[in-house]
Amino acid sequence: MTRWKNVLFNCTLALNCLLCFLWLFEDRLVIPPWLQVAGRMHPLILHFPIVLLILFIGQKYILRQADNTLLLLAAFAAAVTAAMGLLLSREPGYDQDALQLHKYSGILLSFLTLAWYAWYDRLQRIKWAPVSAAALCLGLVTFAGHQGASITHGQNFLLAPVTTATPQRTVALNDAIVFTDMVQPILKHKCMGCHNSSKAKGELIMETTNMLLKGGKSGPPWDSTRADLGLLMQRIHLPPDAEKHMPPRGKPQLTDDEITILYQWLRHDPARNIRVADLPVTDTLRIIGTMLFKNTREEDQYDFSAADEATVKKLNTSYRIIYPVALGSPALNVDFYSPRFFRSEQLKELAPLSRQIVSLNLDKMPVTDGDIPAIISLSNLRTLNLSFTGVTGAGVTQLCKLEKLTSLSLSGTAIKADDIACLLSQKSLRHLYVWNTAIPPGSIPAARNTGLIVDGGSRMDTTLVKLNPPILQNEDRILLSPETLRLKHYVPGVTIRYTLDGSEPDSLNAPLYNNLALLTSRATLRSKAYKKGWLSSDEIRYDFYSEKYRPDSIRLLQPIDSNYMKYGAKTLIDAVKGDLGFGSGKWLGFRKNDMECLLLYKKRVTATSVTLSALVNTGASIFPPVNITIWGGPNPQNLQLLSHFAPNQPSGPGPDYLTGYDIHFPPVTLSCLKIVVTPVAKLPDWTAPKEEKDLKEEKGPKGKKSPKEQKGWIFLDEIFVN
Amino acid sequence: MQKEILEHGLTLNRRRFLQRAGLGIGSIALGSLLIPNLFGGSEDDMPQLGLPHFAPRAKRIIYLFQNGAPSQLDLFDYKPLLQQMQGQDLPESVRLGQRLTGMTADQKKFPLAGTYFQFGQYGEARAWLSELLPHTAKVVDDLCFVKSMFTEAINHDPALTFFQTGAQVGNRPSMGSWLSYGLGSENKNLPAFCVLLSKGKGNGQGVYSKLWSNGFLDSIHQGVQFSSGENPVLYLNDPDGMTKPERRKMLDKLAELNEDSYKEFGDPEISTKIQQYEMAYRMQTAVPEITDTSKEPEDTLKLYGPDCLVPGTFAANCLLARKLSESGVRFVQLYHQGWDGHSNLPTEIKGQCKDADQASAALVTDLKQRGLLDETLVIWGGEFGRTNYCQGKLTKENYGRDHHPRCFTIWMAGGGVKPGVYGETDDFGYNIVRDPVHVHDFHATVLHLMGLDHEKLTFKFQGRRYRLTDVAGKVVNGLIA
Repeated sequence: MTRWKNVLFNCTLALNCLLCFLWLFEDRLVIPPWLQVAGRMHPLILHFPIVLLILFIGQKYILRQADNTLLLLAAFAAAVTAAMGLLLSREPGYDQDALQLHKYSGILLSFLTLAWYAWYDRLQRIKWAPVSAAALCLGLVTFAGHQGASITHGQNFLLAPVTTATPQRTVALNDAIVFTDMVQPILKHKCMGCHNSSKAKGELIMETTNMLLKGGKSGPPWDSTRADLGLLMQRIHLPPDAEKHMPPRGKPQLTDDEITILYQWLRHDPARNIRVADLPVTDTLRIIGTMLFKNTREEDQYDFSAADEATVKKLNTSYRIIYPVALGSPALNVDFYSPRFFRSEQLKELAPLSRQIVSLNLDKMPVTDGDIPAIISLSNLRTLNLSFTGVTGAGVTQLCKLEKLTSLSLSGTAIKADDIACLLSQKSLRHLYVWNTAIPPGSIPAARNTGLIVDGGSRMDTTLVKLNPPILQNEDRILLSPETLRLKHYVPGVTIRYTLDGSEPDSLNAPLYNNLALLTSRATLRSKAYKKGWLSSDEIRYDFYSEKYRPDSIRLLQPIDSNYMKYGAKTLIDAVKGDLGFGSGKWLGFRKNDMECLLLYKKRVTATSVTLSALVNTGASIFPPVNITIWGGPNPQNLQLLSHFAPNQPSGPGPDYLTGYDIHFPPVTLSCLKIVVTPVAKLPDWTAPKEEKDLKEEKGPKGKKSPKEQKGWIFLDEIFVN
Repeated sequence: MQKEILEHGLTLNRRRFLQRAGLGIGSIALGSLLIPNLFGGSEDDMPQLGLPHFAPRAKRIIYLFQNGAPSQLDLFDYKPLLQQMQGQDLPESVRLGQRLTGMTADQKKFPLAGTYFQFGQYGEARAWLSELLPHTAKVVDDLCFVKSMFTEAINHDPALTFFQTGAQVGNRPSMGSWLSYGLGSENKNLPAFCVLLSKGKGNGQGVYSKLWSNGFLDSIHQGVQFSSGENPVLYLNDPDGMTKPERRKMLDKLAELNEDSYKEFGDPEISTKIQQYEMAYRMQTAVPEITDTSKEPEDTLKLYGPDCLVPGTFAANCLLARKLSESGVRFVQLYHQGWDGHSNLPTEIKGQCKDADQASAALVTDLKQRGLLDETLVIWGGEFGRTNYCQGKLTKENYGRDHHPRCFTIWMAGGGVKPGVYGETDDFGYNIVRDPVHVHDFHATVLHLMGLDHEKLTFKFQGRRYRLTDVAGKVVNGLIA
């Protein structure tokens, strides 16, 4: 007998050590299936420690017998139960927080019974110790038992019949009705305390829709003709301190969401029983509803088991990707890529996975009607993408056999309106995409009992779209030798028209661009793109320059503005063109004085023209010069006036542009040229209305100016002599 | 008493002790059988990869990053009070002494600047939108505007890095790399994470390749930047005179050699390299199929605007993003530069919107009509917002706005996001008054939509586990449909 007890005691001790260890490393436990079976026996075994403990205490205090064998048995059973419980708790599906108390009390009970047995004799000698131990054990076993029951049977299981709280009704979104499930609960909690048939404050009773809509002594609560929708909303929106504010001061107030629900309900017809799921997806009530009600997503619940991993792995290729929806999910997605590697057999090979595949993407694959049988054999298919495939009406009609299909894309296929008739009556289908097919937009009656959304036709509105301008591909604006004009446009079927003499590139007279046009000398390119069905593009404009005689040196006779003189005078003869950014250093700026320079040649040249390349940016007060004069002769002391030119001034604001001013004169043999360029002395009024002067100053090139001195800027980057 | 002590001495002998101790240790050993790798180091810390943790709402992301920070006050967050108080100083009770950038810290006054543009309300959500975004206005019912985003950084680079990697200092993996790491590539013939760049005419801020870096993750998760020229991926074509079978044979031989050196050295980068050669080979057919826009129907050209055929434009990148995404690229990251409106904001933002508005809206429409919007998450927004007061001189028609990290607006579409307006700022558009969303929360939410638990997607590096959200971030349930 003693030996048997000794063995049992040792076992219990070992089990408690094991328990301690499992408890410490709980987070890292991985339970093999056979041990899960042991874990699941916890609800069976747990009755033993309870009964044995009660029996032992009864034996000790009622029968007054001294034997403690039952305590040992109880301790053993408690240890086994606790260990099994720990194993069970690692299985998914248990709320770890709710489990805590049960777990701790169970483990504690196991330790406590063991300790009591181990020091039984010693405790016997202390006066209150055995009674306290008995009471503690009984208390713990009751507590642990109750906590355990709450986990398996639900919170408050024991007292539910005697407590008044009615269990929460969970409503699925598809079943929810606006009044019963959204509005009524609010009225019940916040209004019906007073507006019920026994109290009937203000003679208003809210218990049924009819009684509510009939109203109280101030009239019906709802009036669709009023902007504020009548009494109910008025009272709710009164300031909280107002006498008539509802709910009255001191009573629970409505939350913002509740007010929105009431308002939206009244905005729709309150007498009608609208289903939340029938409202448009973007409707406010629907949006609130989706938060309130459990959205039963079918795709989350599957009634089939996972496929063999090896089969999935074997069927996975670089062009046919098969993967589970999520970790641990039995459902599979299948995506096909690269049309040129697609073969019909690849679909048939999916047969072993026919139950598990829920999504199949065949976008752009050369699928034909002959492949449809392989597709409809996938009985659990929910999402199918057949956009831009070769399927036709005959094949599409067969797709109605897919009973679980919720989303189908047929964009860009050769189907006609009649072909989808059977799909329209398919119960499970929620989304059908038929963009870019022969089915015209809006031709399908979208309203159907289940709320199918058919996305037909193109969403593009019929307004004309403007073409983008042609792109000039020649990089150099300075022609050193004749170059082919290279214009490009990316939109297929576009015609490009251009002129090189600065005239309008209209759609009738301007030459059509082909890649034979040659740029030989100074030219102003203007070009536009045209296409039927489109608005013609904006114009592009570029100046091309040629240069026969580059000066050997340049001397400026008046200063450059100190902010825009980065590389000095030689900027004008370095053959580097600037762009619209006037601060780039490729431009020289002048305002306070004329640009006056001497171009010097070591050998005599015979010139016939001078071209100045300039920038115009009226927003920044950069204007064309008012006057350009050219002088020439054998040396700086001996010059004669060759020509002068006054460029056209802009008459109002316009976009910034680059331009060239050509000044021609009869052929002269010379070795020195003097060029004088004069800025605008007074800017036109439209540039800077008085009150916006500051703005212009800020936007324009830096530098202080007094209000009287409204001079324009000139910006030059290059002078060409031909 | 003597007897007991003696008995006790006899009971607690060495044999007893060893017996009991043996039992204890034995049972511990039994328990340890249930813990794989108890003594095997940190292997068990590695999360399970390649599949979502739970059923995802979105499979792919297209992130239209508006680099430089567009002004929320001129596009989304309508504040009539600023127009009424035009030119008045920003009340101290609103600013509350919060920090400024070096660019306006010396400013003596902070004159409030109301927007120069008209606003209207659109869609079922009656969302306010500026006249600058006429195309976006047409797709409002598909968009979720988050008006209460906020960030911690106040300058471009840290803010951008924070948005992309979850940390202000570089060297962490980018969002796309984390997704590539957690979910892998959908299409084995294309990289999981692609990057496309474009530049508007407005004041621009640089983007650097550190923004799409894999950080400490395997280099296979790095973002692949597509070139903005006519050939988005360079050197894809076989050289003249090399046929496909020859190329195949060459790669097979090369793989053999690599295999040999892998056996010799065991460096995992060698097997990564073999995989990358193989992917490049498959990309030779996959990429031209995708980047060829010549077969796009005219409808599509009109939808995105004709610029979508001009390589390197935002419109072209949007179209390419749709095509890549449709072909299973997990994360397509666009950056559009030029939103940094410190001065001349009205003029600059007009130009920026002209580039961005139509193409962004077109992308949403295009995905929707192909039935792809449900599974593709589109995100549009910058790295922070802009101030409600003027930087520099304020006039009726011209103003500039400085950086403002305390509130800004982004929008998301598709991929399980709930359309509507989320969050609210005060009447000054300076502080958030309802439902703030931190960048970490945004990351947590985006990962959640992709089926990933942001707390479980970790990587152990330098002795600790890192996450995209690091030690913060809460999923914003209000954004999820």
